[in-house]
Amino acid sequence: MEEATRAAVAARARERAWRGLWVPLLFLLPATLLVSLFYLLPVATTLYLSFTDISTVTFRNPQWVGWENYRDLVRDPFLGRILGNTARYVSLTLAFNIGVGLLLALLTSHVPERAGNPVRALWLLPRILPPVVYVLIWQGLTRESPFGLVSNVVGVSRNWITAEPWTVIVLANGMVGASFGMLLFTSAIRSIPADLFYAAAVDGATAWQTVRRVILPLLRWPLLFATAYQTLSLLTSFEYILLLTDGGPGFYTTTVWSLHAYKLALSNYFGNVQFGMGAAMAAVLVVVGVVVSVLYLRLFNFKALVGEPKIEVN
Amino acid sequence: MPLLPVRWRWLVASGFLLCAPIVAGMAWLVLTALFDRVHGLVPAGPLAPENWAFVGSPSVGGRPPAVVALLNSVLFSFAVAAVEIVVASMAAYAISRLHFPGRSLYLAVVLVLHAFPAVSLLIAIFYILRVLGLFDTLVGVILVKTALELPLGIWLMKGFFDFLSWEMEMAALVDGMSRWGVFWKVALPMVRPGLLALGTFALLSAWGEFILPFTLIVSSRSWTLATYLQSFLTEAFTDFGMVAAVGLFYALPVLVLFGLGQRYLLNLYGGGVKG
Amino acid sequence: MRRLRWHVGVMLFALLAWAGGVGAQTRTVTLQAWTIGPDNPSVTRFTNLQTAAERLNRELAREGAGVQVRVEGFFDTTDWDPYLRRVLLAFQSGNAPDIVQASAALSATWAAGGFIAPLDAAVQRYPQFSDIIPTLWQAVRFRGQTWGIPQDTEARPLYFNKTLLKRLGWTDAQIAALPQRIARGEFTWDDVLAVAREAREKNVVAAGKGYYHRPRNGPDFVLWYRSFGGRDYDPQSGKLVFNREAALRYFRWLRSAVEAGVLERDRLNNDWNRFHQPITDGQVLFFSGGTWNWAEWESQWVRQKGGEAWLWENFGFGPTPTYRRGGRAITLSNPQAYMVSQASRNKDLAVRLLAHATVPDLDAKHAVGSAHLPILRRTARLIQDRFVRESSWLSEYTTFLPPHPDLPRWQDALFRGVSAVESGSATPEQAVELVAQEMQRVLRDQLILE
Repeated sequence: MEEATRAAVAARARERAWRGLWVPLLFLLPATLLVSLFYLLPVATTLYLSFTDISTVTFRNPQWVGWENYRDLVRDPFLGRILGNTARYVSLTLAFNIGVGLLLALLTSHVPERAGNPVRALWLLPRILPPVVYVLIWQGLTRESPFGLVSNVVGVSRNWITAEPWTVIVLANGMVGASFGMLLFTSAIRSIPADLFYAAAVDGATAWQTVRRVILPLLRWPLLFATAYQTLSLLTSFEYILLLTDGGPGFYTTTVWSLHAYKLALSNYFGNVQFGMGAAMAAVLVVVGVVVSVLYLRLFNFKALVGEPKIEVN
Repeated sequence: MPLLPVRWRWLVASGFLLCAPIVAGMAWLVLTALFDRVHGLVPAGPLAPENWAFVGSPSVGGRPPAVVALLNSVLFSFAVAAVEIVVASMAAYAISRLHFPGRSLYLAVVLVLHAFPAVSLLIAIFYILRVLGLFDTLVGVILVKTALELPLGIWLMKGFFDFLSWEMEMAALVDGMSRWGVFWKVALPMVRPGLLALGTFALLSAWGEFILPFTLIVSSRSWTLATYLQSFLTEAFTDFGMVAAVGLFYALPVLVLFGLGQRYLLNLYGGGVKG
Repeated sequence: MRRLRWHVGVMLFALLAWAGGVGAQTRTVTLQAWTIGPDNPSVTRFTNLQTAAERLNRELAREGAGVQVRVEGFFDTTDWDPYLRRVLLAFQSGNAPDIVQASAALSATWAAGGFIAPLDAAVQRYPQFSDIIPTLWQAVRFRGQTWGIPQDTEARPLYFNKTLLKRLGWTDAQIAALPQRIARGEFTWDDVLAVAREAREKNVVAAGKGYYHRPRNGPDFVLWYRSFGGRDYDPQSGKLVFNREAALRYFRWLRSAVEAGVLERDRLNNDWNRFHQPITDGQVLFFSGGTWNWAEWESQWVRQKGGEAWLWENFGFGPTPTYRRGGRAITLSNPQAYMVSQASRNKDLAVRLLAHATVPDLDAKHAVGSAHLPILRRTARLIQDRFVRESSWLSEYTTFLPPHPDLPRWQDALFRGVSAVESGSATPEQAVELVAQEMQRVLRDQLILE
C-alpha cells in the first residue's frame, strides 16, 4: 500500500514538474523560434556557407571547398586596403560619436531644461529619420552650386561627397551615432548627487574644473560602455556607406569589411555573385561579434542584470 | 545639477549652433519638396505642386505605384510592432516571473544577442529565407525584423515586469486563474507604458528599415517606401524636387511624431539605451 | 401539338448553336515582358511590344484563332545590377517572365544555365526575321543554336568637344577631318593623350576633365582593351584569351593619363550623374560613350540649352582610336536581344509577338528615339534622323562581344585591374599580373593566357 502511495506521489510530482515546464515553454516558444531561426541558425549557416563555393550558378548544389575561400581572401592583394578603411572608419567615427556625444551631454546639462531638451531632441532626429531620407538630405546639401548649400557657403562648387568621401561618411554616421552617447551621458550626469556639485562650488571650483574633477571621473563606466558597444556596432555597420558612396568613388576608397562582404555576396554587375566568399568575410565578423559581445557582457556585470525571478511558485 | 550663471549665455548659443546642420538639412528637405528650384536654402523658383505628382502615379519602370509602397510600409511597420509586443512580453514575462531550468542561460543568450550586430548575419538570412521559400515576401521580412528586434524587446519588457509588484498576480493565481490568464488580463495591462514604448520603438525602427527590404525583396509589388525612395537615388538624372517630395512624404509620420512627442521620444531612446 | 414541339425543338437548337458559338469565344493570353534601358529614351523596347501586340491581335482575329494577346511587365530605368539580379532570381525560382530583354552577350551565359529557349525553329517560321542584318545573329548564337532575337544595336564612339578644340586653336577643317583620321589610325590614343595634356596645360580644361569614360563596369572595357591590340576570344578553341602585352599598353596609357592630370583617379565607381553633368556642361574634352547617350543628353541634360542643336554645335564623334599608327580603329556593338525563357508556357505566341515587333517602322522608331542603331536592312530608308544617319558608318568598324558563358567573370577581372591602375593602387605591371591571376583562378581551363 505504501509503495503504491509513494509511487503515486512521485508520479504526481513528476507530472507537476512537467506541467511546471509546460507553462514557461509556451511563453517562450515564439521568441525562441524566431531567435533560433534568425540569430542562431544564421550564425551556423554563415560558417557553413563560407566553406562552400556557392554562387548564383551553383546556388542549388554548392560544393564543399574547405578553407579555399579564406585562402583566396588572404591572398587578395587589396585586403590590406579594406582593413585599413575599416580601421579608419571605426576609429574616426567612434571619436566623433563619443566626443560630440559627451560635448552635447555636458552642454545640455549646464543649461535649463527648456533650452537643453530641444537641442537633444534635434540631435535625436538623424537617428530616427529613415536612413534613405537622411542620405537624400546629405546628397542635396553637398551638390554643386548653385544648389548645394555647402558649395555655396564654402565658395567652391564641387560635389562634396565625391570630393571628400571620408569626411562625409564620418560626419553622416557620426551625427547618427552621437545621440547614443549623448543620451547615455546625460542620464549619467543627472544621476550624480547634487552634493558633489555643491561641495565643488564651495571649494571654489570653476565650471571647467567641475567637469574635469567631478563629472568625468563618474562617467568612466558609461564612457567605456559606449566605446565598447559602438566599436562593435561600427565594425559591422555599412548601411549609410552603401547609400552615400557605395564604397567608392574610385577603387575601394570607402569600402569597409562589412560592405565588401555584402557586395561580394549580393551585388554584382552581371548578377553572378560570389556568395561563399562573402560568407567567409561575414563569418569573420560573426566570430569577432560573438567573442566581443560575450566579453563585454562579462565586463559589465552580467549578474546584476539577470536578477532573480519574482515568483517562485509554480 | 546646478546650472551656470547667465553670463554663460554663449554656451546656450553654441548648443544651438551645433544643431545648425540638422536644422539646415530639414529645411532643405521641406523647401526642395515644395519649390521648383532651391539654391542652397533659398527658393529660386515658383512653388511646384508637380513634385508631388508621384503620389497618384501608376506603376512605372519597374517601380510600383507610390500608394502600394506606402501600404507595404504601413503593413510592415504595424505587423512588426504588433508581433514584437506580443512575443517579447511573453518571453519577458516568463524570464521575469517563472522559474525554469536554463533561465540564466536564456537571459545570457538574449543579452549577448542584444549586443551582437545582427547586420553581419544578413547573408545567411538571405540564404535561409530562400530555403524556407519566404524570400521576396513581406511576411519573411516581417519575421526577420521582429526577430532582430527581439533581444532589445525582451530586455526592455523584462525591466518593466521586474519593476511591477506581483501582489495582484499572486492574488489572481490563488483565485485559480491560469498562468496565461494572469499574464494576459492582469500583468499586461499593468505594463501598458512599456508596451507603448516598445511599440513606438519597433514602429519607428521598422518604418525606416532599408537594408532588409533592399536585400530580401525583389518584386516591385512588395517594395516599401524605403526601397521606393532609394530607386530614385540611383537614377542617372535625378529630379531633386520630386525626390525630395518622396522623401518628405516618407519621413512625414516620423516628423509628426517628433513634433508631437519630443520629450516622449527622448525618454524612450534614453531608456532604451541604458545598460 | 407536333408543330409546337417542332418549334420548341428549333428554338432549343438555335439556342444551343448560339451558346456553342459564344462558348468558342476569345481567351486572352497575358505575356510577361521585362525590359530595361536603363536610359529613359529606350522605353520603346517595351512600348514596341505593346504596339506589336495590337497588330498581332488584329492578325489573330482575322484568322479566327480565338486568342488575343496582352503584354504586361515593365521598363526598368534604374540600373543593370538590380534588374539582372531580379531576372536571375526569377529564372531560378521558375517564375520567369515570357520575354526578357538583355544584352545579347548574356544569351550565352543564360543558355548555358538552361534558362532560355532556343529559337531556331521559330525564327524560320516568320519572314520578318530574315531582314535582320546578318552579322547581328552572331551575337545571339551559341553552340550552334540561336538564343534570342536582336532588338537593337549601337556603337561606342569617342566623342570630342568641338568648342574646346577650337579654343586650343583647331580650325573647323581640322575638327571636321578628325573622325576619319581616327578611323584610319592617323589619330591614335597617344594623340588623344597629347591633345588632352595640352588642353590641361593651357587650362582649357580643368584637372581630370581631359578624358572621361563610364563610371561602372560594362562592355566598353573589352572594347578599349581590344583597341590596344588585345585579343579576348579564340574562335577555334572557343576559349577566352587574355593578352598581357595589350593589357599593359592599356594600363600604361591610363596611368599616364592620370599622372598628366587628364583623367580623374576616382573616375570609376561614381554614379552616372558625375559622368553626364560635366560633359553636358561642356567641360570635358574627350569622352568615350555610346550612341544612345546622344538621345539621353538631348532629351534630359541639354533640353533647356537648345536640345539637339546644342549637341551638333559642340560635340563630334568618331570610332574608338587604335594604339598603333596606321592601324584600323574599331568600335563595339553590344546588341540588345529579346529572349524567351525556358519556363514560358507561351513560347510560340511570344516569338510571334517578337516577329511583329521586328518591323522597319518600330525599328526606326526605337533607333531615332533612343539613338541606337537599327537592326533591319530596310529601316535605313525610313530614317531621316540626322544622328542615326551620320553615325551608322561606325557600324563598318564594329566588333561584338565573344559568345562565351564565362565572359562576365572575364570582364569582372579586367575591371578590377582598370580600377586598381586608375586609382594608383597598383602599377600597370602589377595590375596586369593581378588580372591574369584572377582570370586564371575563376576561368581555369577556359582561359588562354598570352
